[in-house]
Amino acid sequence: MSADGCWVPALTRLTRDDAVDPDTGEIVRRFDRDAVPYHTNDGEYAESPGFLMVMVQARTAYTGERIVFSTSLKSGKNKAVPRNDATIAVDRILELVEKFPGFAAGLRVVVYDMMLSVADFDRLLDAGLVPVSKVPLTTKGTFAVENLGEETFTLKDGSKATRIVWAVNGTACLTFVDGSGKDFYMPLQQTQVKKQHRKKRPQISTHWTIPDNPLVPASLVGATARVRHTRTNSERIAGKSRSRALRIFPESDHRFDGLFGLREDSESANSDYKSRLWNRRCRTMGHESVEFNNIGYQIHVLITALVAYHNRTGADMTEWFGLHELPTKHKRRLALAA
Amino acid sequence: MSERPKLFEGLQPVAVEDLAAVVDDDSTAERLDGPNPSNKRRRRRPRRGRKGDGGRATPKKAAPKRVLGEKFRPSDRQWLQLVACFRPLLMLGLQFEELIDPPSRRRLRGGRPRKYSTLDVLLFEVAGWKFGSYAWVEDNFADPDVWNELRDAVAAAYPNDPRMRLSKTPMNRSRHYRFRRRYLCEHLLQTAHDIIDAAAVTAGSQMGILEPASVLCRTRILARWCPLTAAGSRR
Repeated sequence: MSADGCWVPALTRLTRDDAVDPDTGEIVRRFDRDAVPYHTNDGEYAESPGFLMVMVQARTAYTGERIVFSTSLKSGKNKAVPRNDATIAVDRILELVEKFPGFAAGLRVVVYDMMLSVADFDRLLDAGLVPVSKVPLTTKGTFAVENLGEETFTLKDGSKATRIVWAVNGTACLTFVDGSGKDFYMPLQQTQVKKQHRKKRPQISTHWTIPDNPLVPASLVGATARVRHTRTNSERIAGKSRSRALRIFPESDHRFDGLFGLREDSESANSDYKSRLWNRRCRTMGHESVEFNNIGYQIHVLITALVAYHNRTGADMTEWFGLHELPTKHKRRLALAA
Repeated sequence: MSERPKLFEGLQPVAVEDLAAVVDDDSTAERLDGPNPSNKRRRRRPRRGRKGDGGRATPKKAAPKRVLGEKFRPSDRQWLQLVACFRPLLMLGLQFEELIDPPSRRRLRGGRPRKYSTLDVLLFEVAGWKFGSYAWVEDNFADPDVWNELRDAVAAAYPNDPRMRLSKTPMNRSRHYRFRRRYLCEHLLQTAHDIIDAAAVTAGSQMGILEPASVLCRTRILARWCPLTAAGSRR
């Protein structure tokens, strides 16, 4: 599952200031009263006024089988909605999880870009979903590093050893010293992701193994530890989070590129959405009208996906189209042998 | 433009002091060389050789082989029928009808009655997304053959439910505008979101997107398998 926000310019590029005569208050030109400027640079509009549209979607591996689960619109009308598009997307996803319990079954990955804040990351984890995103740099422009505290490692011979684990740019690490006295972060190898259902909320943890490296003492090679990702109650109260620098699928993981690549799907979806608009602008004016348009797009994508699915599998579509006979692709007839 | 370097590639350790350095990440820095960098400015494509032109002949690239049957595109009429017979759309239309014009208030209603149904409005809206223009949809709906075909298709798809019928007169842009201006409100949109989101989740389950241990959990970009299961993933 992936989500992303996209800026849809309003039908007209005029703002209230441009369209209303300051002396008489008369509306001299047409403008969208619900459209807002996206952001400003030095007091000037950086983008033409418009709406922030957030889409949550998923797809199969086959052509045309994409489903938009939810759309949301942010404009001047609903100012209570958070500014950040990732927060809006997480709100929508959590609504879906609440309404449809099967939505968070298994390990479902939510891919988002770097707008996903730590708070939103933790909200997804608490709902039993697995967020996939990069770790942002610190304000100083360095990689994020965090001390996760002591974790107990199980050595190969069955004994236990306690070590301080660090999270560096998403990866769990241990520190070792080489012969010259220089400190090194040694990345651990992730071997397992676990989701356990506790009384109140699911808990997600990962198992990490110490790899074989000249820096690592022979006794520690192959030792495993379990690192928790979801917050404890005390951490929640104290406002602490492990997600500042720790990821379930960090950038060093070989699966990261494949999973994070799903984000491109949401970019493609946004592009498809805007390509169907005249001049890539809203086709109507006003918040309600644009939101109604988005619902129309959601239905359009749903029908496309069902037709593609029917053509691939031949599944029964009576539930969706009644007794209507769905069109099927014509198969090329084989030429008769001369 | 350089992207920030990847740490721990190949599980190689990184010195602690190296991480204190500021990462050279200018992927979001402001460009100083304009929207088109001078070294990557688009060059004019050389003309293909013609007789007597004297220009250098550029061999024409062979078109990529089209894989038959990979993508299915129904005709316009087939598509309109599909939209008209889509059950969630019809259910949403009926729900709109009840919210806008509840039976308890029908006697009190004054003024000229609506001559279009909410099903028509929804059909018009969704068709606009396929064809990119409300004017195109209006022109086609104005053709009696097209509109009557749609009406017949809906009647044939749901013969036992007389509520699911399109109006006699075709939908047009004026009516679409009037509906949006007069009836669209937060409550109506929330109802639409509820119905369509539920339909999307049901369709996702049916197509295997939401199956917990589905084979479709694989990532598409690299076509690799991610062993994601409810119990955990083990490489």
